[in-house]
Amino acid sequence: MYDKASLALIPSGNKASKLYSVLPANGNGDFNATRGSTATRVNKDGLIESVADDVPRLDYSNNADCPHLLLEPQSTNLVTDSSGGLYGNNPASEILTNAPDGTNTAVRPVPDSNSDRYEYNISGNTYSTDSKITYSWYRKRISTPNSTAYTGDLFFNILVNCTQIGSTTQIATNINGYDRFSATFNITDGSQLTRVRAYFGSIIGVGNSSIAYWGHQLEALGYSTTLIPTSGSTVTRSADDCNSAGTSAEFNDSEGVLFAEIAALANDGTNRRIAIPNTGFTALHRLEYFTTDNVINAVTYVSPSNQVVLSHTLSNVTQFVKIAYKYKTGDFALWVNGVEVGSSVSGNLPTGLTKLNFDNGSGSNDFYGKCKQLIYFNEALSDSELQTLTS
Amino acid sequence: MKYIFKKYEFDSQSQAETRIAALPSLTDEEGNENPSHTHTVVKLGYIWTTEPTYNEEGEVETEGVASDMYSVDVLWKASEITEVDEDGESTVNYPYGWVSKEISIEDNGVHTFAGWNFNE
Repeated sequence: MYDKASLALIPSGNKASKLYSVLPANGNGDFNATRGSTATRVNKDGLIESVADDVPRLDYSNNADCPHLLLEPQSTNLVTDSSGGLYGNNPASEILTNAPDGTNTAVRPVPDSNSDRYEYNISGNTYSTDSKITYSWYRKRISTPNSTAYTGDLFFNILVNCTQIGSTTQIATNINGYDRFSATFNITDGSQLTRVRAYFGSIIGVGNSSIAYWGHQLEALGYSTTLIPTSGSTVTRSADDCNSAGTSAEFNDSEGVLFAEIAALANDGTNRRIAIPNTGFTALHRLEYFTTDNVINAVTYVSPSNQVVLSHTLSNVTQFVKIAYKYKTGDFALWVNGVEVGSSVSGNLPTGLTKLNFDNGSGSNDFYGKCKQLIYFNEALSDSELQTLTS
Repeated sequence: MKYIFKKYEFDSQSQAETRIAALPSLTDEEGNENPSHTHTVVKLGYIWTTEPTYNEEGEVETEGVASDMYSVDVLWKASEITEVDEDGESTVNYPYGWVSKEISIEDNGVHTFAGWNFNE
């Protein structure tokens, strides 16, 4: 059925400011990509590498054979030395070792008996009360540590003015032998100093060097994003922007299907949209991760109101899902992973559809997440085709 | 030059917030006003000139001294603030209220953007 597609993005080709689509062959379906800063990704060799500004990221995380497009929000790494981290109590000595980016910059601390730990301070009045901050790091066990009881081999304890939300989680596996972990905290009182302590001394054991750490990052987000390397100051990665694929020639106002294989970065309480707007942004079709946890919507909007809203609740928004939204006069349907999960027989259709954006069509509500496929069909597919497409 | 890295000091947080809020935005179909520019704006706040020190419990041992100016770093998307006249001459026009607050320092200071060094 792919021969019925008029625009197909299978992320595989890129250059500065451009993300190539497979269809159409004339280049009309290519996306314009912008990002003011460099950013990092996992390359096909499984190493972390820097990607130049404006180059869209094709990421091979978790040992994937095929890359996905990675789109992330702006974020700042507050740790001013991402390779070594910042100590509260210093270890007795350090041994440098091979890191996830292939450099010899990861650190194996050799503890003494002084409660060795990493420690990060956030001054009062930096973030508001109940703001979320997330600490992430890479860890490789060189040998079995003194204690294996703590996920990621860090023990968060004696925190000041913050509490850990949930438990430490592993978020990536085997990046040059390292796993990546993340822990999120809630700031109790924004007017006061916040201090995160991550103990490693008793875990490694006095005089031992069983664990290597690297890629320390503290962000003012409720989840971790890709590593933002730092050396001497805090560093900000700009937001990814990827838009304006297609022309009116690729889109059919009367009927069509928008299909996406995507995953969210987290439940972050925001709208993250993929839209096909008309020229004046007065009408559109869109798929979106909704503000409510794990909810996706398919929406048709014609000013001044939504014509169709089909919703579905996913079990885990960070897992890849195949979604197709079919529109046609009197026939709207949302398919997810091989199953029709919603339908409608009424609603006006937009006219003048003109492009495909990783946002709400007018530059906001950007889609931040991962995308393996984004395909537009300029005719309504049958139920059996939609089932096959989304299975 | 696709992007321009500038540092600013404003008289107050509210003045900085006002200038940031005045950057281009659009109202979406739900009536929410959202930034429509692709500049990267980072609010650094009142930067410590002398860091405070704290005890083990996080209580202040020696008071710090903060700047009385509110700092903001911006990575401007040049094409969004550049005008080209009929002779093909291009001029960068920064939004109102920013130029007079620009500062220059020798290195990155407390913050930079990934892949960027200030003044390079």
